[in-house]
Amino acid sequence: MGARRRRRQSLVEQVLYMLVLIIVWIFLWDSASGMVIVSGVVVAFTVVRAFYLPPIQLAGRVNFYYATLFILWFMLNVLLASVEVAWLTVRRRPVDAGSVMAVDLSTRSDLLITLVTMTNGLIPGSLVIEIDRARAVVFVHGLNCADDEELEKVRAKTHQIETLLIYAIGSPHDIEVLNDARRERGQKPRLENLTIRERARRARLAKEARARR
Amino acid sequence: MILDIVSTVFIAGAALLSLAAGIGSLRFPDLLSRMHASSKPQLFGLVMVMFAVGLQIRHWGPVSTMFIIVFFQLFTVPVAAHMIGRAGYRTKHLRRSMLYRDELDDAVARAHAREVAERERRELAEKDRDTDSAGPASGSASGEDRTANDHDESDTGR
Repeated sequence: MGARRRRRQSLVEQVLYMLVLIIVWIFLWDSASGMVIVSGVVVAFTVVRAFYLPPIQLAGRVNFYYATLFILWFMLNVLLASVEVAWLTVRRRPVDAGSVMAVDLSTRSDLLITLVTMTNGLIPGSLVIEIDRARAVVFVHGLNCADDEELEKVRAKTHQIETLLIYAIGSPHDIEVLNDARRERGQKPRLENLTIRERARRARLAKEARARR
Repeated sequence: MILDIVSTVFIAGAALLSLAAGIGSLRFPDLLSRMHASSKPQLFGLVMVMFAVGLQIRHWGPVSTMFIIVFFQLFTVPVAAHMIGRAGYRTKHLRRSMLYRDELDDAVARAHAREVAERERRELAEKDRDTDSAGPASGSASGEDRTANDHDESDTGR
C-alpha cells in the first residue's frame, strides 16, 4: 500500500469516526439545527484529536449482502436464545454443567476478534471469557453444555459469527484463510474471487494473454 | 388500538425476560452460568421496552435518545460480562464440577509448561557458563504452584 493511499485511508477512517460522533451528538440534542451540527463538528474534532486511541483498522471493504445477513442472523439468534435461556432458568431441572472450549479464529484483526467476542457475548448461551490475541483463539463458555453435541453447537455458532463478519467486512487475506478453514471443515468456500490468491492468478492470466498477443 | 396491544405484548415480554434474568442469577449454580442469566435476557428485555415506548410516543426526540441507549448497551453489556467472567476465571472463582470440559485450563497448563521449560533451559545455560560453581539443587520450578499471573503469558503477544 502506497504512502498516499495509506494517508487517504486514515483520513477516511477519521472522517468516519467523526461522523459517528456527530450523529450521537445530534441524537443527544434531539435536533439537527445548524448550531447543533456546528458544535457537534467542533466536539467530534476535539474528541478525535484530544483522546487519541489506537486506530481501528478497517479492511476497506464492505459486502452489504453479508452485512445484512449478519444483522438478521444475529437478531434471530438473540430472540431464540433469549427464550431458550429464559426457559432454562424456570424449568424444574437445574442447568447442567457448562464447558469452556477453545475456538480457533481465522482472522487476526483486532476489530474482528472484538466483534466476534461481543456478538458471542450478546447471544445468550455463549460468553467469551478469555482471548489469546496472538494466536487468535477465543475461549467460549457455553451454558448448559454437558455433552459433545452441545459443545459442537456452540463452536459452530462461533464459527458462523466469524464467517458472516469476515465475509461482510474482513480483509481479502482473512477471506482466504477462512475459505481454507471452511474447506477443511467440509463447507463451501465463498467470495473466492476477492482473495489474494485468486487475484494473483487472474493477474498472471492477464499477463500471459498480453504476452501471447 | 393495535399499537397499544403491540406495546403491551412487548412490555409484558420484556418483564418476563427480566424476571427470567433475576431467577437465573439466583438459581444458576456457578459464576459463569450466572453471567449468562444476568446480562443477556435483561438486555433483550430493555430493547423490547424501548421499542414499546417508542411505539407509544412516536416523537423523534425520545426515540433518538433510546437509539443511543440501546447502542451503548449493545456495546457495553457484552464487555462487562466478558470482563467479569474473565476475572472470575482468573481468580479461580469457579466450580470445577460445573465445567464439563475446560480447554482454557489445558491451554493455561501448556503455557505454564512452556514457561517452566524456558526457565529451566535458561538456568542450564547459565550453569554451563560457570561450570566451577556447581551449586546443588538449583530449584527446579516444576514444583511451584500455578498462580493467577500465569494466565498473562498468553495475551502478551505482539
